[in-house]
This record gives sequence, C-alpha cells and structure tokens, in this order.
Amino acid sequence: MSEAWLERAAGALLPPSARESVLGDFRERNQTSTRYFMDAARAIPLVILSRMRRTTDPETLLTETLGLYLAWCLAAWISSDALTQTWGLLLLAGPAAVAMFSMMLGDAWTARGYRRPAIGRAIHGGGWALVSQVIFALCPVHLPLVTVLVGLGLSLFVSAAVGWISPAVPGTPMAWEDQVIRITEIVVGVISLSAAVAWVAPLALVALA
Amino acid sequence: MKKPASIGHLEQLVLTAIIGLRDDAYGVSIHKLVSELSDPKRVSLGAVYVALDRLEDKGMITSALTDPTPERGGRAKRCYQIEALGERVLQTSAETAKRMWDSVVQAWGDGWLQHLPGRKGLAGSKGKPARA
Repeated sequence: MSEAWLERAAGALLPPSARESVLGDFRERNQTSTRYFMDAARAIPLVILSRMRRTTDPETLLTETLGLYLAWCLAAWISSDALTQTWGLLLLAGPAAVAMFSMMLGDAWTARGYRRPAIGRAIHGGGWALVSQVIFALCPVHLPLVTVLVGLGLSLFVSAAVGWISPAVPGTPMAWEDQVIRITEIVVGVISLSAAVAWVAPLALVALA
Repeated sequence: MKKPASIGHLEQLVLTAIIGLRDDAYGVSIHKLVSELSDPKRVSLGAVYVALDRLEDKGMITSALTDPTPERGGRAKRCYQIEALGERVLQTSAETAKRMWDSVVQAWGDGWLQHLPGRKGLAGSKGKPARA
C-alpha cells in the first residue's frame, strides 16, 4: 500500500477543518507506510469524535433525538401495530438513531459556525434511515413499509424543524437573513416534503395494492 | 455564581507543553513533550488532538495555521498559543500540585525522592516507601 494512497484515504476520512494539520503531522511523524497506517487508525476516530462533539449542541441533540424517536413511534401508532410487537420499540429506535448519527457526522464535516440548510440536513438523515431500513428488510424482524414511509415523512419534519429553531453556534442568535431563509424553508419545503412522503406515498401504495 | 474553569490531567500536560514550546507548539511537538511529561504512561496523538480541541473550546488556547513546509508533505502546521485564561488555570493547577508535593514530602520525608529518577524503586514497592 503506497503512502500517497494512504494519505488520500486518511484525508477522505478526516473532517476538512482538521485535514491539513493532521495529515501534515502524520507525514512528519511516520517514515513508513505501516507506521503511517497505525498512527492514522488510532488518531482519526478520535479526531472525528472530537469534531462531532464540537459541532453538536447537547440540548439540540437531546431534543432532536427525542423528537425523531417520537416521530417513528407516532408513525407506528397511526400506520401499523409495530408498537405492540416484540422488539417493536427497539426497531423504531433504529432509524431514529441512524438518522441522528448520520446528521451529527455530516455536521462534523461542515465549517465551524456554518449551518447546513435544514432541509438538506433532514434529507441526509432521512436518507440514511431509509438505507438502514432497506438493510433491515432482509432480516426476519423489520418494520412494515407503510410505517417506514410515514416515519420518514414525520422525521423529516422533526429534523428540519429542530434545524430551523436551533442556533448555528450554541449561544449565538441568528441574523435576520438566516431567519427569513429558515422561515421560507419551513413553510415551502418541509411541510410539502413531509406531507408528500408521509401521506401521498402510503396512499399510492394502497391504491396500487 | 460562575463556576471556576477547571481542566483534567491531560489538559494540564498539554498546557504545560504549549508553554514550554512557545512558538513551536503544534500537534507533533506537543505530543512529544506530553509523552515525556507523562512517562511512563503513554499518551496517543489522538488524545492530544482531543485535549487541544477541548482547551480551544474553553478559550484557554488559540490556534492558527502556518505556512506549508516540505518535510510535512507541503502541509501547514496548526500552531497553538496559550491565552490569559489558560495561564491562570494552569497556575492554579501548579499551585495545587505544589501543595500536594509539599504534603507528600512532609508525610514521607525526603528519602523517597532518591527513588524518583529510575522510578522502578517506587513502582516496585507497593506500599509506602520507607521514611528517611
């Protein structure tokens, strides 16, 4: 494995804010590929976790996690009997946890103080939640398709709404331009998107069936 | 009442290293000095990065990228500088350590100090070293 290839791989894994200095440190410390690999394997996870800690506001994290889990529970309550099934509550925590983790990871890759558009962030989380459910569909115990679709719609709404009300940097008030953008987003995008996914898709499925 | 700023053991070592290195305090040099200070306990480079991030968030240090250098593959260094808050907190920690040191010397006497250079004498004897 060449050092250039290793450096490219390490660079792809590191958040942009830390990439330049950390890659330079790796190069300066290590003369061989094996040592470079060992150093990178030990340091990169900690750099990513530290970055995630810096870009995550604990109060927003708690609110969003709770909101997402309740959204999936609500989806199960209105669309199927998943809530009362064995492992039902645990199955519903799965997509919420995946969405939350993927959004935190995505936040770690953004520049400090910059906030990703609320809808883009919500779709990112929802997308990974959907991927996790596609994988889970291969398992004997999984959520019904209707619940997944309704859950996705509701979780998109929750994530975008939390993204809208939370500050870009904890403790910093938003500028009025940001507020206007967020209001536009939440009115035009979030409601139509969540409504489309949560209600139109299941109806279409029922009509097709 | 505002809680006074506090730091952990690793953060104390990192602040000490930054003070000692002055203008050359960056990831590799800080890790090297912290490893020497914490010997025989090993400290990973990743743990030093985490401590540096925490200290920066607490406003005890600031950082800036320097010009790229060839020995680093054309990459820049992130150099760290201690701030007034960091100096104050480190001073408080040093005073606490000094009081602890004085208490230990008072309790055990000066005799146990001769075990310090090799450290094996201290590590080998599980109980309290003999009084001088």
